[in-house]
Amino acid sequence: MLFNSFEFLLFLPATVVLYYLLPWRVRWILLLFASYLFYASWDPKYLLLIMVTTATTWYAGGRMAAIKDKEKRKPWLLGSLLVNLGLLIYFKYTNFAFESLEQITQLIGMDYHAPELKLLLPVGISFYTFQSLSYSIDIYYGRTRHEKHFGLYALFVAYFPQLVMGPIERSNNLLPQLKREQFVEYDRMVQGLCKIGQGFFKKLVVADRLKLYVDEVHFLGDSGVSGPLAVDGVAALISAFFFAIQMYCDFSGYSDIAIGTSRLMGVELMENFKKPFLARNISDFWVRWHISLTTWFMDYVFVPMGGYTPSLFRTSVNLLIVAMVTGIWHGASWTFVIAFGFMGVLMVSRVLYIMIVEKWLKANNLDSKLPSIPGWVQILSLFVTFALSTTYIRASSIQSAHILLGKIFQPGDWILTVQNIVLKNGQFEFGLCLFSIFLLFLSYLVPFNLKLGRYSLAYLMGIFLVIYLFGYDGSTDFFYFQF
Amino acid sequence: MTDQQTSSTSNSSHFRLLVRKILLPLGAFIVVVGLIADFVFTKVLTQYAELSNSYKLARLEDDTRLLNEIPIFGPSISRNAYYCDSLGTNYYNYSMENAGFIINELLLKLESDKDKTTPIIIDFHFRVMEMDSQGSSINIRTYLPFVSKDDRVRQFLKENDRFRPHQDIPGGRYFGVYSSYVKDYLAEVYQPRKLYHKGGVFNKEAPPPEQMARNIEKRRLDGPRPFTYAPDLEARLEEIIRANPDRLFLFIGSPRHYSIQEMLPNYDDMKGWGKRMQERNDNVRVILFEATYPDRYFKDTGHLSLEGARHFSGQLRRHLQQLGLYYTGEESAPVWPEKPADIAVVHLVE
Repeated sequence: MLFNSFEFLLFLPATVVLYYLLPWRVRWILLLFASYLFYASWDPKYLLLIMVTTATTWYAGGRMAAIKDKEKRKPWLLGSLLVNLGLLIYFKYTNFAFESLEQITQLIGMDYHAPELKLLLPVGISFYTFQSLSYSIDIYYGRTRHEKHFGLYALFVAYFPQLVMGPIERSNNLLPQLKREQFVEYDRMVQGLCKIGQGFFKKLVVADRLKLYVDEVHFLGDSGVSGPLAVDGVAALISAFFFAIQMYCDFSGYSDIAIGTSRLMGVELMENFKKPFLARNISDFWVRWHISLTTWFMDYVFVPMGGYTPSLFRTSVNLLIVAMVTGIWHGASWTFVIAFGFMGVLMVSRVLYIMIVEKWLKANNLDSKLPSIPGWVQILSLFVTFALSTTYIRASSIQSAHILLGKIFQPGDWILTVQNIVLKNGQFEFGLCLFSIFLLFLSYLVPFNLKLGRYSLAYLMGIFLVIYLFGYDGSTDFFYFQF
Repeated sequence: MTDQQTSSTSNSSHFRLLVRKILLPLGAFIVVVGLIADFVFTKVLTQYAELSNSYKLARLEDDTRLLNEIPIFGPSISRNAYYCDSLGTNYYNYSMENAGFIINELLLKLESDKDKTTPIIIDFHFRVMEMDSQGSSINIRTYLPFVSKDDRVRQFLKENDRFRPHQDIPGGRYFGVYSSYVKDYLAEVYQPRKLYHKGGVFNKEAPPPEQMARNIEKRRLDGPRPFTYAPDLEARLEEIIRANPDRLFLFIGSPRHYSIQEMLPNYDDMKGWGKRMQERNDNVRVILFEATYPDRYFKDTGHLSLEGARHFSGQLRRHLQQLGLYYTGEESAPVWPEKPADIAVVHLVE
């Protein structure tokens, strides 16, 4: 059941109304039932997996909570990691591993054909696995208390607003709210509706509109690279920009709908995006982009590896490893490893710049003498760099990404005709793409979490009108579903 | 008052406030906007933008007029190939982008439901008998204005898993496709690079040579595209043909760019299929045009340009006249010459 589906339009109000009608002590049953129903709408078989994850992490958590000695807790933590990462790896990476093995053996001249397992990637497995693993790890370190109520814990893992695409919540934030009695609060409900409206605007007006253009550039065709071969360099460049915005609007739109939906039931989820395209450097960008995942990797991978250490080499290695793992988390493909590896290189470059160049400039009193780069140049150059790297994320293969980037970096070969810029859908559709980006830009001017007060109704009517008239067919999947 | 009573009162007062100040006005606004938009789009934009597929469908459904009209069915290849005024005054190009077998089948059924005796032209290209996967070629906006008023269209969408409950709701049915109707409407008013003429779409200018070279390269890299057909689809097509013995079904192979011809490895099979259809059905004639056209006659490797379409359509008229298959629109019960033993193959040059 997609957020942007007719079914969800019925499901959400029914759930919210029932939620407040029921006595608060039994509301968790309704929410758990609704969450499982929501998840089963993709495939009831998936429920089994989420139940296995829930049961194993809860049981391991209970056992760890009963043991005071940290060392003795370790087997339970490892068991929890083994089962849940094992499921994730099996469903998400088995075919990737076999394909990679086949490619490597072919490179060295061996004739090995990998078996093709018909594994269906369960929706949201990367998200709920990470959420439940954070619970196990937090219990191990004594950062959180074990939730004795299995039903509430099951709800924590399966809570439908953030189940399939995050934000990846921590038990310390979500569980206490799920336990607390919630009341209908006018202001909070209105804010929830506005947040949902913003999410639908990003998804239906911006992301799905830009997707049309991007899909044409990345069209597979019979050759697998038909689109990249056919388009001009200028279209490849525009497509890179459009895809960066599409990906942002698709994902942050989902997060907004999730946060708004949850707010209707009195549960505050963490913000997942904070205007990332206003970031001035790569570190700033990752503080604003997919916050729940980046903080997860910081807390559970980067810091345990040593984090920022006095050794530049060690810090660089840590950053690169986290970047690669983040890439592989996103998708079982080398294109993701390259894209996120590149971002890791940017992070390392920035650390090296701060630790070596800036230090040297300061030591020689040169830092104040150098002209500062205007903020908008920093913002723009970071956006262009990010957009170009996302070509790998969208491309169906490394070959496809290389064809497009090759065309982008050969501007001498560009044929600047209107047709080559606007592509098959024509000038009107291209104009709508630019218009949607303009609307997004306007929304960036609005302060974060602005309280609209008595203008809420006008805001909701305005956003409805824009979505209604300019929204594109709302039946497309969210891009991050594949992760 | 107990805590529970206090919370219950607070819940209901906030809820009433929410309903009164937000949900009711917003709901009313949504209903009003939806109904106005539905009316405007159903009654105006989808009916008067002649180049939109919805207009074509509405025109095809109307069985009270245009009884001497000769319809042309096919995908974008034929939308760009048949320039109706070069054929005659009573031709209309109903071709739709991506129209594979299932769409042509629907259009043929709508046409054959009419009490007419004119020929029907079907563009005979290498994908004419291909079933598209799960109705993916169905552009839903074409059919939305007819979902609630034409059972044939409704059934068509249901059979191809494209019917959704919200398509029955006034104000809800066009959600997500409004801009595409406006696009058609504006394109018709403002035609800088294309000419829209009786259902056909024609690029006024051919692309620059370097662009064409790139298109040809891409076509070659895309690899061979053989002609395929499935026996069950053939049976469905023949059912329509046989149910309309008074109608002449003209399968016309419009000119292809040489790069497409190169990628059609089983052209003889395609010819053979056409020959079989003609042999088995008295009211079928197949004419294939093999052209050695220069690049400027093409908009890209798949479609003719305005210049190419005019040339081809003029030649088609001439050959139909020569073969005795030309229908002026005056004859109420046309008589066609005896069926030839083989299909006609015409070689066109510039």
